[in-house]
Amino acid sequence: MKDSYLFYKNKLNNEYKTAFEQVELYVFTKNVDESTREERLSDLLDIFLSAQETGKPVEKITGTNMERFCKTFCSDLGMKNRILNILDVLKYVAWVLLVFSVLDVLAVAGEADINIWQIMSTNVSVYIIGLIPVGILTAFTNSVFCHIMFKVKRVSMCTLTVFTVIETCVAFAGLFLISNIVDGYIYNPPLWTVLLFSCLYLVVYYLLLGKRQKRPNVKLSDVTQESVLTEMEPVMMERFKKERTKQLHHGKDEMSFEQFLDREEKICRRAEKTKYFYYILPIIVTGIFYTINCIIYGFEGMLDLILFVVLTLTLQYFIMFVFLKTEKYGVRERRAWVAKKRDELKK
Amino acid sequence: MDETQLLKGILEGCILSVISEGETYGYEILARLDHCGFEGLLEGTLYPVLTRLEKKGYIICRKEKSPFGPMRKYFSITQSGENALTQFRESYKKITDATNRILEGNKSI
Repeated sequence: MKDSYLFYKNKLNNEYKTAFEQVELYVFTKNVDESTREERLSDLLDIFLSAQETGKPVEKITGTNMERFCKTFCSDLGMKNRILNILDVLKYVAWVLLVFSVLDVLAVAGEADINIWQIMSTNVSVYIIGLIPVGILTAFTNSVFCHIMFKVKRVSMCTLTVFTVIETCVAFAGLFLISNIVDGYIYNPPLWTVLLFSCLYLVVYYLLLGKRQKRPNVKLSDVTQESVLTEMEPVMMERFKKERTKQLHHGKDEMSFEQFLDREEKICRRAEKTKYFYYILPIIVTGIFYTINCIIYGFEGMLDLILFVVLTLTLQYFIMFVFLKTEKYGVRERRAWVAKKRDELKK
Repeated sequence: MDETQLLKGILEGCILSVISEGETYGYEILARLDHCGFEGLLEGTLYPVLTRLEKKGYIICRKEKSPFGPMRKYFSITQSGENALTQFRESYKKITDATNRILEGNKSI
C-alpha cells in the first residue's frame, strides 16, 4: 500500500530533495513515534511537491535559514511524542518477555511440587531486563549522533561506520558496567512478576494506544525500487554491450536488445528457483547441529532445546540476509528492470 | 523591530480566517498567506499552528491522497472555530484601532 511519504520522495527535484532530507533528518533526531513522524513528513512532502509544481524556489517555503525552519516545524513535537516512541519500543520488549515467560511455565508444567510463586524467570528475561538500561544508553548515543549529523550535513559511509563502532563500544561498555554493578545479573525476577508485567503492559498499551493511526507497512525494497531502476540503467546497458561484443567475438550473430532481455529473464528465473534451496539450507544445518548436540551434550530441557534451535536458525538467516544485501542489484530489481524495458519497447 | 513577534500574535487568527473561506490544505493556506503579503515570514510555523487549532477544536481535518501521491490533510473550520474567529476579528479591530490612534498621535506631535 503506497501511503507512506517514502514512495514519493523521489518526485522532488534536487533543490527540494536536499531541503526535505535535512528536515527528515531533523525530525528523526526528535525521537518521536513513527506515526507522528510519518504524518508530519507526509504533510511537508505534499507542500514541497505542490510548491515545486508551481515553480517556486524552495527558499519561498523554508526561508534561508534551514535550521530555524526545522526548529519551528518541529516546535510542537515534544515530550509526549518521545514518550509514545518509548512505549512503542517497550511493546516489543513486553512481547519477548511474555513469550519466554510462557515457555518457562510450559517447561515446568507437569512437574510435581512446584510452587508457581517461587519459580524464577529464565536467563532470557534477565538479559532483556538487564539490557533495557543498555538500550537507553545506545538510544542516547544515537540521538547525540543524529544531532551531530544534522549539523555536519554530510553523511558518508566512513561516518556511519565510525558511528556504528562507537555505538557498539558504548553498548558493550554499558553491559560490562551493569554486569559489574548488578553483580553478574543477580536481578532475576520471579516468573509471575515478569508474566504479570508483560500481560498488563500489552493490555494497557493496546487499549490506550492501539487505535493510533498505524504507519503504512512499507517495504524498503518497494520504496527504493524506482530509484534503483534508474541507477541500474547504465550498469545493465554496459552489460548488454559486453554480451553483444562477446557474441560477435565468438562469431555469432549480434545480440538484439530483446534477446538480451530474454537472457536476463532466464537468469533471474534460474536464480529464483535456487533461492528456495537457500531458505531450506539453514533448517538442514540446524538439524545437523541438533543431532550432533544431542549425541555429545544433550539438552537440559525443552526450553534449552527451543532456544538452541531458534538462535541457530536466527543466526544463519541473519548471515544469509547480510550476504544478500551486499549484492547491489538483486533478482527482483533485475526482473523489474527487464519488465520496464519490455513496456518501453511495446510503446 | 522583529516582525515574527508581531506575527505570532495574529497568525492563528489569519490561518483560521483562510480556512473559514472553505475546505483547504497546507500549501493552499501558505499560498494564500503569501499572496496577502506574509511571504518569507512563515518558515515552518504553519503546521504547529494547525496542530494547535486542531487541538483546540477550531478546525477538523480529513485525509485524502493528494494528486502527487502522499496523503494530504484537508482542513475545515468548526462552529467553535467560527466563534473564535469572530472574537479574534473583534479583538484585532480593537487593538489595531488603538494602535493606529497612538501611532497617528505620535506623528502629529
